[in-house]
Amino acid sequence: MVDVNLYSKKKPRLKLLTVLILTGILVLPVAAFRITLWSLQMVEFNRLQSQYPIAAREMQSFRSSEFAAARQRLDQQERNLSAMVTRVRAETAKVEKDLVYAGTVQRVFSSFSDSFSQTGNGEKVFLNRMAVSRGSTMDMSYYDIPFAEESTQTLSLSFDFHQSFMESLLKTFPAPDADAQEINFLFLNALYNQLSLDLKGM
Amino acid sequence: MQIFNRRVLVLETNNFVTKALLVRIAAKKAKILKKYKKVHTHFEGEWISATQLETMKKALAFIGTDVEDYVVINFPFERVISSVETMPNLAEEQLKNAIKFKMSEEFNIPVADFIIEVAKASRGEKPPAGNRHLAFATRKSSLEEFLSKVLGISKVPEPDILIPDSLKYLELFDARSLRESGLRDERFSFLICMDLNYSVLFIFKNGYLWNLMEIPYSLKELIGALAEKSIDVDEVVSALVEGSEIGSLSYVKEVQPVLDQSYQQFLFEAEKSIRNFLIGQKVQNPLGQIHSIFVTSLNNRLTMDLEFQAHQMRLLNGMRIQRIPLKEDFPTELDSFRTVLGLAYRGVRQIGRCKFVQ
Repeated sequence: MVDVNLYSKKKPRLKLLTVLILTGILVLPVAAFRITLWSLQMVEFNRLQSQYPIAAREMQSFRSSEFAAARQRLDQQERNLSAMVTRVRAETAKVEKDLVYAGTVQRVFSSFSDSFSQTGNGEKVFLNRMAVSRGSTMDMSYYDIPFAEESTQTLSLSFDFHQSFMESLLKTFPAPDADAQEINFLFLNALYNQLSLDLKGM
Repeated sequence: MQIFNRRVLVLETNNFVTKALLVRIAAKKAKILKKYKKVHTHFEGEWISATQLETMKKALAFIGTDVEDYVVINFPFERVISSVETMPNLAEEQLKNAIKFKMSEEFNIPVADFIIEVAKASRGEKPPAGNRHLAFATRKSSLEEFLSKVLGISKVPEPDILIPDSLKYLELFDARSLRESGLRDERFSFLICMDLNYSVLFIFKNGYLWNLMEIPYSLKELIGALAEKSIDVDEVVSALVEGSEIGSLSYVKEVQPVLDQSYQQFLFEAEKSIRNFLIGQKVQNPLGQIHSIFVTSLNNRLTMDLEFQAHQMRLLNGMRIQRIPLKEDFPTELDSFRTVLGLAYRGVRQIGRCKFVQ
């Protein structure tokens, strides 16, 4: 029919018991979840104890309060180990680089020595300059003077040392910066070679 | 506010009787847990007597209250004025204020001392078409006095619903079956209602409450007439309230003529009100505008007596008096609690759709 209410000022009120029940209803799922979780933990713990009886003794003595400190300790150790690995890796790379550098320089000297040994009877080699700037260049200049033929007393035009040395160098340095100049004066026939080897990246 | 324990505490009080019910609602069923009824005729003319307040206190002590109870109380109809106002379409609050100002002018009551409530269609019901609004109002001072006495002296819990007393009758009838039985008509239907302190004429049209008017004769006048005859008024009032057979009273010979005369006087006043209303409608053949006439009162016994008298005196040229159907779930064994059950239906309806069960 019709709705008429001459007094509509009443504010809804709840009694203490209702408030308590409502609070209980809100808290109950959380409590139930925690109890379930705890029960599952205990079941799993018991299973592990029966499966690993020796470890179980350690497990029993382990206090959960120590867990955080132990974890912090492990984290610190992991960080230290990681820093050490980085350091060793850098050191290894440096040593590798040094070895490569040493090997390269060694090969230059070996090439020089081997070429001289092979052609030393017929030619004279004067090392004019040799400068090694580590990590940059290796500069050297030399004179290659072949001997005159004893029988004919004619000048030899073959620079065997130079050719041998350059061929040997090409195996290590594909594009050496070389400036070879021949010098012919009276009975002297010589070759002056200025050589610059790029050691960058070694 | 109720969450777990859903109860409706209903209190009906007037100068002659105080009734209380405690209804428990569970699984869409309303069950009456406790009931209280006490007749008290001794009063000195106050609109809320000290005896009445004391009886209310006892009733609550018997019933037992809870802070979460949904409380429904009746407000004396003598202190309520009603009016039908025509207003343009307005928002609810604006409409309320507009009607308040209009009624304030009509009744010459300051706006500040005026509390108004516009009748709304019940939940789930379609509101009537048109711009007519039925409004109920009371003085703020009357409401405050009533609440201060009832809440302060009788310790009644603060009401959720304070309903004008006369509207309890409308809750007893099944609105849907009423509409289906022919109230949805362009003509008017009248419900003549006799209560202890007042009498009211409900007017229906198109299936909706169209207006209501006070009939200037009630059971109070009957009780006054009986008091002059040195009859035990308490006993007669108890019999009237209970719906007992008056013939069982030892001094029936003295009582019966007074009863008959009072009923006839009441029906005569009701007929006058109906005729005045129809004349006010300015239509040709006013009696042809009547679709049906219903009579009701405190209980079935009194209703039947009034119907009998209406037939005897050929009310409105012998128009047939129809019986208005009560709700299907009305607990017939609690017929003497009919009026307070009307308030209970109102409270239960506010909580949800529930059926009364025994």
